[in-house]
Amino acid sequence: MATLVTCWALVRASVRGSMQYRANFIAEVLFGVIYNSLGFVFILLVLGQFTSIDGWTLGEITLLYGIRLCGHGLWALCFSSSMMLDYYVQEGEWDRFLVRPMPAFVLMMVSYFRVAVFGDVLAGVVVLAAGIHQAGIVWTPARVLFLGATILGSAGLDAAFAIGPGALGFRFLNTEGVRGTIDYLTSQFAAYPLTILGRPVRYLLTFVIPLAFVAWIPGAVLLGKEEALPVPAWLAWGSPLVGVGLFLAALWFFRRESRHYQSAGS
Amino acid sequence: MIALRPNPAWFGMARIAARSLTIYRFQHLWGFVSLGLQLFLMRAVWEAAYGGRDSIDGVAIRTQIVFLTIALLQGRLLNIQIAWSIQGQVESGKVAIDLIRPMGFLGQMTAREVGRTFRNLTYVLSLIPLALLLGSLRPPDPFTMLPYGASLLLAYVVGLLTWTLVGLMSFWLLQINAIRAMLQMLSTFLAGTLVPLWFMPDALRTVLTFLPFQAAGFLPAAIYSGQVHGLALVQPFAVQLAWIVILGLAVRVVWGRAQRKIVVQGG
Repeated sequence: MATLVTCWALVRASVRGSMQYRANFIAEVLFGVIYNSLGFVFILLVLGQFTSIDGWTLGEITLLYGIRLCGHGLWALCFSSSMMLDYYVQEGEWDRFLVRPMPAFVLMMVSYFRVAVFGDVLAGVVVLAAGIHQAGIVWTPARVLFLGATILGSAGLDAAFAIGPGALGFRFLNTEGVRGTIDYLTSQFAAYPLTILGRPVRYLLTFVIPLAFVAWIPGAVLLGKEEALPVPAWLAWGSPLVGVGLFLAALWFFRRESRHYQSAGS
Repeated sequence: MIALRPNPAWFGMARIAARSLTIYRFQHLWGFVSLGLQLFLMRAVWEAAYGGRDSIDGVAIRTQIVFLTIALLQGRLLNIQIAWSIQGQVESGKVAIDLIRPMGFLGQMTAREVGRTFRNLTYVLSLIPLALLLGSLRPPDPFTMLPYGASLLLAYVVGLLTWTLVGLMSFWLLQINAIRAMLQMLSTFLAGTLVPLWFMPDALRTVLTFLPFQAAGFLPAAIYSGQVHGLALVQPFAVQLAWIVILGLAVRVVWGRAQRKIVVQGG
C-alpha cells in the first residue's frame, strides 16, 4: 500500500513536471494526435482512391485502426517511460533505481511521464468511435466484452513489443533501431488485414511477431469475419490472452536482461 | 552576415560528424533488415490497393513502387537534422563558443550536416543493391539519372534552407522541440513521398504545391520514376530554384535578426 502511495506521488510529480511548460505541453499533445493520425490519414487517402483493401471497407479498417490506437494509448499511459531505458543505461541513471527500496522496473515506469500520451489516447478514442460507427458491428453481449478485452490485449502486445526489445538495451546500449522498426511495423501495419501479405509473412506476423493479434484478428471477430483468418475461431476469440501472455513474458525477459547492466562509471 | 566563405576547418568538422555516426554498428546492420521490411510491406499494401489492376489514373503499379522506393531511399539522405543541431547549440548556450570561432555559425552547422549526409550517402548506396534485388527499384537509365541527380541536389539545398529556418526559430523560442518534431514527422507526408501527389485529393495537392517540402522530396522522386520527362522537366527545376531563392533570402533576413536576439544561458 505504501508502495502504491509512493508511486502515485512520483507519477503526480512527473506529470506536474511536464506541465510546467504550457506551450510545450499543448504542442506535445498535438504532436501525439498528429503522429498517431498520420498513418490513418494515409489509409484515408489510399482508400479514398481505391475504396477497399482486400475486401475490407474504409469503415472496417477504421475500426482496426481505432483498436490499435486505443491499445497503444493505454500502453503509453502506463509504460511509455520504458522508451527512456537506453538513456538510463547509457548515462548510468539505472543506478539510482537500483539503490531505492522498490523494484527498479516500477521506479522506471513512474520516472517520467510523456505528455504526448494524452494526444495518443485522444486520437485513439476518436478513431475507435468513428470505426464503431462506420463498420456496422452486430453487437452481442459477448462482443461488447470482447471489445474491452481486446483493447487490454492490444495494449499488452504494444507494451511487450516495447519492453521486450527495449530490454536488449542493457546489453547493446542502443536499441533505437530495433524499437523504431517494431514501432513502424505496429503503427503502420497492425491495422491492415494481413491477408494482403503472402502466406509465409502472414504466418510470421501471426506466430513469430504476433502483430496480427493487435487489431486484425480481434477486429475480424467483432465483424464476424473469422472464416478468413489463418487461425481457428477459439484462438481468435482468445486473442486478448495472447496480449496478456506476451506482456508477462516481456516482463520476465526484462528482469533477466537487467542483470546484464553494467553501470556507466563516471 | 552569411558566412559561406570557404574555410578549411569545415572539412575537419564534417569528418568528425561523419565518424560519430559509425559508433553504433548494430544500428546500421539493423537498417538493412528494416529497409527490406519496409519495402516488402509497402509493396504489399499498394498491390492490395491496386487490387490486380495494372494501372490507376495513368499510374502503373510498377511506376508507383519505383517512386515509393526511391522516395524512401532518398528520404534517408534528405533527412536533414540541421534544425536540431542549431537548437541544441542555442538551448545549451554552446552557441556562444560557436560564435567566437573564426567562421560563421551557419557555416559550421551546414558543414556538420554535409558531413552527416556523406556518411549517410555511403549507407544509402549500400542499400541500393537490396532494393534492386527485391525488384522494387528499376536500374537507372542515364537519361533519367542525370536530371534526377541534379534535382536531388537541389532538393537537398531546399531541405537544408527550410530546416535552417526552422532551427533559427530557437533564437526566439529556445524550446522548439515540439514544433520541430511535428514538422519533421509531417514532412514525409508534406513532401508527397508517402502518398505521391498524384494520388492526393485536388485541394490537398494544391496546398502542398505551395509549400517547400514537395520541392525537397516529391519532385526528384517523380523524375526518377519517369512521371516527368522531356520538356516537362523544366517545371520541377524552376520550382526548386525558386524555392532556393526565396528560402535563401529568408534565411539571410532571419539570421541577421537572430544575431541580435542571442541569449546565452548560464555562464
